[in-house]
Amino acid sequence: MERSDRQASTHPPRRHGGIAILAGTALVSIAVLLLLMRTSPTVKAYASGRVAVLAGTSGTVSTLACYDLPSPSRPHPLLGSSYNDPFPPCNMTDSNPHDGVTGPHLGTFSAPTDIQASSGSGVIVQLDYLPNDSNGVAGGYAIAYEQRTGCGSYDPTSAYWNGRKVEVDITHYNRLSQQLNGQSIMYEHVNPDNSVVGTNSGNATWFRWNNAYAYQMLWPPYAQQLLFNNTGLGGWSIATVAQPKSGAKDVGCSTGAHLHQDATSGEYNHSQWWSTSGGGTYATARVSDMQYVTMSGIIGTAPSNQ
Amino acid sequence: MRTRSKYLSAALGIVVVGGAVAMGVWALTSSKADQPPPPPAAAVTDLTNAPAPPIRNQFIDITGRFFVVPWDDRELGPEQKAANPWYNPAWEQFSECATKGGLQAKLDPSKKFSQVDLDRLVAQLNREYPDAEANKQIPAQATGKVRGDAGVFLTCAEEWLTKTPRQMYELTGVPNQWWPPTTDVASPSPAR
Repeated sequence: MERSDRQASTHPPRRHGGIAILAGTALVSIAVLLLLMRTSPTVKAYASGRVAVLAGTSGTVSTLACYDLPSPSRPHPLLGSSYNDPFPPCNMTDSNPHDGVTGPHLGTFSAPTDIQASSGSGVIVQLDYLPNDSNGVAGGYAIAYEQRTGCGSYDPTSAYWNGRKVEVDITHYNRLSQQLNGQSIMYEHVNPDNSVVGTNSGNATWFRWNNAYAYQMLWPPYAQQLLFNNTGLGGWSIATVAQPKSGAKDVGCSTGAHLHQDATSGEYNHSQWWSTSGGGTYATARVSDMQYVTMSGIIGTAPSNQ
Repeated sequence: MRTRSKYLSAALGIVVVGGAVAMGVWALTSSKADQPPPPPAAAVTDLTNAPAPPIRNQFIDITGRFFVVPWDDRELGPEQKAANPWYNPAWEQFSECATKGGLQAKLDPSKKFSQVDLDRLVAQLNREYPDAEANKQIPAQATGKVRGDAGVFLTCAEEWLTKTPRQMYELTGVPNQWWPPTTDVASPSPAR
């Protein structure tokens, strides 16, 4: 009797206890799920966005070398439809790619630009408008190496010295360490700093860079070598502006100290470099937007030229 | 005993309901604040687990297309360039190397290898290897690692198109337009 009493008295609490344990387990599972949702990083992918390549040195913009006039034509962004936009997007693969007003001027990539600067001025790589949010660019790798061309192959002792041509490649990663995209920038008429610039891509060194304002940077402080997206500060010093010799013009190369820079898929920041008086305006190294580059996989915030 | 079990059931019920309420409040407040916990200082915490540096071959552009920077970058129109063409002193050796590998480097073997030949070769490779993502995986030193026409082209390009005119002079003993340098230096003139 005592035994059956005990059985009778203990069964109901066991049932309640089982329900409670089940409910508790369910709650714990939900809590774990919620925690996982909060801690597992996910990022959104975007179709494309625009970032800016900033001026590599300070000086007056003397040439926007690829005008593509008269086609495509579109209204001037400042002066309205009575005037043609002098700097529509430059497409290096179109049928008339190098018809600059001041004469043909070949660029390797798009939107080639000249900035007049004193020889010896620093050439610094810097970007802007990289997306900083949790879906944006955390950082990446950058590499610099020389490219061989005719004008860029004269020796500094030659009467035709024209400086060297340096390609910079920058890859972008999100905070999951996934590569999003990459871009190339070409700098010409420079004295490369061969402690950071390789003589070809095979012997050049990759450098680690962080987005200065990223929601989460890619590299820990001890591994960070460069900071991009940090207007006016940081950047990557790769060269100085060369002093081409006057003889360079005898062979068809350019003369006078200046930095030529162009970028992949680049467009001019035409609204800034067009002066209504007809002259070029002053660009500041690491501050002024020189080219706008459309890149896949991010939502860049550079202003639109449209 | 019955009373005791009722108390126990009630206590368990209170714990479960209390837990659910607490979780609800926690979930509500955390979503209201919309502030995820601060992320760690960097995505990469240990360099041994860091993403490897990208693969980059200078004869394949960042978009995955075969690419050689044009040799003649003078600020002249096409007619002026055609009237006085420039030749990279390494082109003949590059052409011989590519021909040995089975590529038709020159359209007209009686003529010097030119920019036109190089552009045609690059265009042919881009037709033959349209998979840009696969091309991006070709290493910086592709020699011996890539087969087919792409392997021949990259091997020859890496051997010859990275050489300076000075290196070509030192290899062949033949002077070229760039080396030995003409040193009658004149004074600089304003930028064009």
